[in-house]
Amino acid sequence: MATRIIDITRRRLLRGAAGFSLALPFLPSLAERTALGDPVYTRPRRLFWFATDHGGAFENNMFPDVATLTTRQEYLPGHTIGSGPLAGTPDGDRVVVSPILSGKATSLTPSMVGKMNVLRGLDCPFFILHNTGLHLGNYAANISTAGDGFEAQKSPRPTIDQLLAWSPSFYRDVSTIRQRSMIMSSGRELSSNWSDPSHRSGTIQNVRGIDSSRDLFNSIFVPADAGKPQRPPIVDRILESYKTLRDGNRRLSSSDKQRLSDHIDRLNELERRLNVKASCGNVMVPTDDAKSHQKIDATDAVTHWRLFCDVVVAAFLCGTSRIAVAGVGSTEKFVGFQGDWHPDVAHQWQLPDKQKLLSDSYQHFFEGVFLDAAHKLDIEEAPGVSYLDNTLMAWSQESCMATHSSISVPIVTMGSAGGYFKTGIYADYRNVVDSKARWDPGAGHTMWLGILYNQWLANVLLSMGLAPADFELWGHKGYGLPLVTRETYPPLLLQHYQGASSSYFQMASTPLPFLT
Amino acid sequence: MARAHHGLLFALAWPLACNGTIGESSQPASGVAPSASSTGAHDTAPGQFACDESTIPPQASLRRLTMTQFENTIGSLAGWSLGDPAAGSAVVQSLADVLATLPEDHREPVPEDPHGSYRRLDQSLQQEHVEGFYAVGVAVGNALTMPDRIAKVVGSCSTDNDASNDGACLDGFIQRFGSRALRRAITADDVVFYRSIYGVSAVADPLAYADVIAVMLNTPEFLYFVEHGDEPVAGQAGVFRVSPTELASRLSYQFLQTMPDDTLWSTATSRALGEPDTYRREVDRVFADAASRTTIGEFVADWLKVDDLPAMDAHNQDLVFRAFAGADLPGSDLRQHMIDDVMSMVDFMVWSRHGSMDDLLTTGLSFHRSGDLARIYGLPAWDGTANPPAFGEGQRPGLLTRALFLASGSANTRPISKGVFVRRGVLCDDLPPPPPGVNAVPPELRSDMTTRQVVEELTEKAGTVCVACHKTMINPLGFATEGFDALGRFRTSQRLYDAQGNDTGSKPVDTTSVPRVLPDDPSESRTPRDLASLIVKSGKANVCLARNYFRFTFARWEDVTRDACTLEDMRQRLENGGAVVDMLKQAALSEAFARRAFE
Repeated sequence: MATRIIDITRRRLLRGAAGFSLALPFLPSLAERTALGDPVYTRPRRLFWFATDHGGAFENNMFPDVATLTTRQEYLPGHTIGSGPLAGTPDGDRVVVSPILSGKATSLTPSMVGKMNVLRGLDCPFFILHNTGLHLGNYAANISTAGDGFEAQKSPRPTIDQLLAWSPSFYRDVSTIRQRSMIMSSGRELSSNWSDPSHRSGTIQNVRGIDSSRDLFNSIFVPADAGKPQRPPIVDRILESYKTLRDGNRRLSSSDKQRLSDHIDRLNELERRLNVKASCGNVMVPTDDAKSHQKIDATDAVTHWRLFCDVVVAAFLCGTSRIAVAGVGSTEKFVGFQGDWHPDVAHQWQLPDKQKLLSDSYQHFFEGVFLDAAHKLDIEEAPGVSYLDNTLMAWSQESCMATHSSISVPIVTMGSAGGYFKTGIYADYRNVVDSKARWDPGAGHTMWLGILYNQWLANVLLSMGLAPADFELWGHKGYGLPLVTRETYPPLLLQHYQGASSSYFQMASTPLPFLT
Repeated sequence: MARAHHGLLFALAWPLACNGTIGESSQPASGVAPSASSTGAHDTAPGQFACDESTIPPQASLRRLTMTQFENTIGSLAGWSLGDPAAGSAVVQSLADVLATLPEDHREPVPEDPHGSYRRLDQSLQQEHVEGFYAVGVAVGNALTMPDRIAKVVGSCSTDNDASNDGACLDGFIQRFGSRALRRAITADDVVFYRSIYGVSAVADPLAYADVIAVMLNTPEFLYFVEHGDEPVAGQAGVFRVSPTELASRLSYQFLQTMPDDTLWSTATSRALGEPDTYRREVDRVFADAASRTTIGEFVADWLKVDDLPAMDAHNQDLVFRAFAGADLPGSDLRQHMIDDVMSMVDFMVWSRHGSMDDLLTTGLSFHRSGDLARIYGLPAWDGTANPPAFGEGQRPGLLTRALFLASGSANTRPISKGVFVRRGVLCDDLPPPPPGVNAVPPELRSDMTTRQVVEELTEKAGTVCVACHKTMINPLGFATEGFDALGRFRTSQRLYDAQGNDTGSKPVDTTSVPRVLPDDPSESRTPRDLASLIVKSGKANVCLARNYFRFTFARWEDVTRDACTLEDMRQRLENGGAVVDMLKQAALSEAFARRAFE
């Protein structure tokens, strides 16, 4: 089969290497895997997710002006939604999409704004409260000990990154994949999966994140071939010991057998990883480590995450992984805040000085990390198409403007997921005319309920090449949990969403309006 | 992650459910008899656990060794095979890099304690575990078959250049090493299996022995507590007594965190361990081992969540913190000194004084060993051998007045976090989650407010959703120790600072509260001693300690109905000033410790 080798020149790599902490030489092995002329070839899509804690940013600090919403359409009877083109407004040497989504004009260029989307009006329809699971779809990952959140804990499921990581629809060929997913964490449990991922069985458990960018690098880049082994491999013999015990006739509980199956699945993955073809063997080992940059200091915070992002970008370019999740956590370091962020800032979001801290922290994260990573990915992968174009970068927040609440959770994206999503769009899914959808969270603010966050998650999966049948569960469309609160205090989620079989839920696996 | 952060994640506001029913558990607690003074249907104190011998405990699940246990076992096995424990330690040290690839044990978040329970409850199996186990197994195999070690590990037959004894040499090694590594008798099938791994080398082959070792160290029997059970327990369908070798492993890992030693193993293989007197003697012997103190230290550290204490020096550049700390500006090791202070207290009171839970809550002895804490406490440091120094009468009674539980790493105390810790960690009461819509009413904060006043403004404001829980369940417990500042220094007033760290005056602190240790108890607490007395009087701390030690022992959350007999057995050891040390040992003597439910 003839393949066309993409001309990845050193010039192109260096273009992406501005401020890059890793040196990537010309990579013929990479080029071999990105054969564009092959009719079977489909653009390899990638997911790069950033999750931050709290929320708390005023909506007019987070989102563009509603006056830019120039297009309206009906989502459901009585529920009209809007969209408009994203545009940056010059402000001196800076460009402003919104106070938080702003950056230097040399960085937030019209091209980059054109590759961005901002989504508003995506709701969790029950009171999940403090959580790490909303971001990626395991709503059971919350800290409630009663109420809706506790109810959600009874129905854990994998997060979408892990569903993708183990899906043959996403990874059609894993022969070069060293890490199915790269989870970077600051102590946040963002990612979850079955204890036996291949068979989707066992228990749902957290997939641990890594806190060292150097360790992440070492887990991805295969060292030079150590030569032919002197002895036959032993992983298969270890596997045999597990199967013998599991399938034998000695007394074991069903739970015991599941645990053995879990281990067997991990051994199979180990065996696969041991046989991954070497790739990017000449990447220079990074000399700096994110672990060394954890001070309460804005510059250090940016450096910390850039070091991680550089490894992710290298992995994407080298084809050794196509999924990354960054659990950024609390953002006080991005403004060097020295006090108690949670009570003294996040929960005082209504106060002007605290709001400025919150908004500034998100702006610094956006410009210093998110936008920077987008730039590093925005190098040509194929004629006219960059790695960023083939990637979906997404930034989600734990809560909305009113901390402890998860309606209208802001989503910012970069890249089109291989052309699946249109970009350069501000999409507003709120129902701003129905009084049942209105909520006044205090301090003179008004919020409006919109559509299900579940639909957004389903769209991410669709954009990565999965079909609804690959992810729908419990007879439920979309991704997440078919749960609507029964509580009747504001915001009026039950009145708006009506129940888990309402039209909103029926729509949850369909492409999002405006974006596709 | 910092304790304060954990606490505050769910503690800033408490909702509608706090209607005076304190002690409501998130799981059915019908096995707990309510106290006479309690109106709560699920109150746990000072209740007894209602033991019903016919109840069947929950089905057990295959437990994995914790990473501490794994590393210890590697060291013990290497030491045993080399005939020298120190040599085993040297092997472990030489493998530091590969051992470091294994994930650390986490204090596993569970629904009942989303902020982290016990490292032993961390039973997740990550890909990094399996890959780390593999790498360690290979490395140990290589280490034990190096030229200067293989003769000790395998026997001189492996190096005598006599091919005629190589088969017997291999079989003997499989039998001998395998039984200790797999913690069970080796069968004929096992010998065939490991022979096949060794292969058909014509001469004794160190690489082949290394493979055999690597596989053994990756088998389920090495990495997990594989238990098949022995005799069925009468009247309890699906429940079996564990076999003597399985019991030996349970006992050894419970207290020593490693594989059974020679003595314990021989009593197990001879089945003598199944005899009550022999078992009790072995429990006494193992429990007396110095390693047990280390293990109990792990329990205490997890129970008290000591690693949640934030760094003390993180804000040293902050003007307000610098002004607040003054001459006590923390060094990087103050945090560890605070942890050591409390760990030493518990260790001393439990093991040297055979103290009770009440003693832990009331002792005036101090165990700090460093100059920085000596300045904070205003008391000379303990030398570690003489009698510990004592605070003045009532000045710093018990655990809750020590810096570990007072310090926040910032200039402000955290009454909410302190209250949450006492409510959950010492009293075992559940707290509802924070509600949506908090802070709908903006707080009216002023720069001349004390920390208590700020907390009251934030969480006790009439008409907010926060007030119900905070005013009754959380804040009063934290206010009781506001007589100590955020470094743990005694104070009667709180100094106030502006944003530049300028002193703007001081205001008296108020430590009076109604802590409602028992839900209907209107007793007022004016001092930390009052609070300690109310907790002791309630008996709830004993119940709570028993529940926590159950979690550590059985590596799962308790079911207060199905585990009631074991819990009650443990609680009774603490009753009437019973020694904590007796309760700790009692867990291994309980019926449940020697049984396993398979269905």
